[in-house]
Amino acid sequence: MNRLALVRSSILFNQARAFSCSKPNLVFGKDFKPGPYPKTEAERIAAAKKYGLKPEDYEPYPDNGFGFGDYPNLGSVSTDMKSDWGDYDDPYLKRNYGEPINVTQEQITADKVTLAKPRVSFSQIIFWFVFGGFAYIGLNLFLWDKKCFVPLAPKQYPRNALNGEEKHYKF
Amino acid sequence: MGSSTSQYILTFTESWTQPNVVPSVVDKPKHDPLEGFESGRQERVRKATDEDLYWAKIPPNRRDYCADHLIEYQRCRKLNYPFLSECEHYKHEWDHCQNEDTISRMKEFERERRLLKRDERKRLSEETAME
Repeated sequence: MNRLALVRSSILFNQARAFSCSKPNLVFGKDFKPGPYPKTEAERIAAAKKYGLKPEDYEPYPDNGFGFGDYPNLGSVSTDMKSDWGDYDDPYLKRNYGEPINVTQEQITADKVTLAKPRVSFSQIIFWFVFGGFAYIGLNLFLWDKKCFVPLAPKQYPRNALNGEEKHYKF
Repeated sequence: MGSSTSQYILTFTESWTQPNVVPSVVDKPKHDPLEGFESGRQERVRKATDEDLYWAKIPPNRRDYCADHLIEYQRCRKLNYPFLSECEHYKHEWDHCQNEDTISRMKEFERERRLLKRDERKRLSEETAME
């Protein structure tokens, strides 16, 4: 089964589950609420174990009043930056069972935004745009007197108000 | 084909290097059209009159030496519509006339170019004689 079929089947399955659910979704915030900011080394190790991380990989957000508590800072890695070809338990989020998720995961799924560095930066885009404009103007000024033309004499019209009594001849 | 293309390119590259020996494509030829023709030249005539052009509603840019063919063609179109393939002959006549007109324009250009080159040669020889 290919990756796209996996994603589609997982979406359809979740949708079917949502439609078939007879009760409203009840979410208890206290179950998902992070614990207090770890101050001692023992608290750090306990928090790392809680989120399924090694103690050396665990790094909480700074305790600056945002209320993230002991939730781990997993870096700015959006879903589309992960490998497309991994055998994930959840192909939509590209996540395996028990794997911690980013604190802003709902904003950085593959169908929303990417945090990957753009291939061409904005300053480069502006530079090449301005460069192209000046190159166009400069070439125009440089080649202004070097025109191409079809080597034909002007078309001859019979006597009219413009050419008066001028006569035209055959060869 | 190759020679005509190189001639076409050479004409305007020459106009960049020596603009005084290449005639203008906008202005009329400056030399007398009868210069060098001992027995004279046959004058071009348009068979259609201004009256004909007016009543046939021929636009000003078509009022050239092929306008009589164009009038015949348009008359045929009007009479035979929608069977316009009946007018192939008239269309061909008009196209042929336009082709001949373009060839005469090419000849006029080439004549003017050669006369300009002749003038340039004369001027250079006079300059060397003066020195």
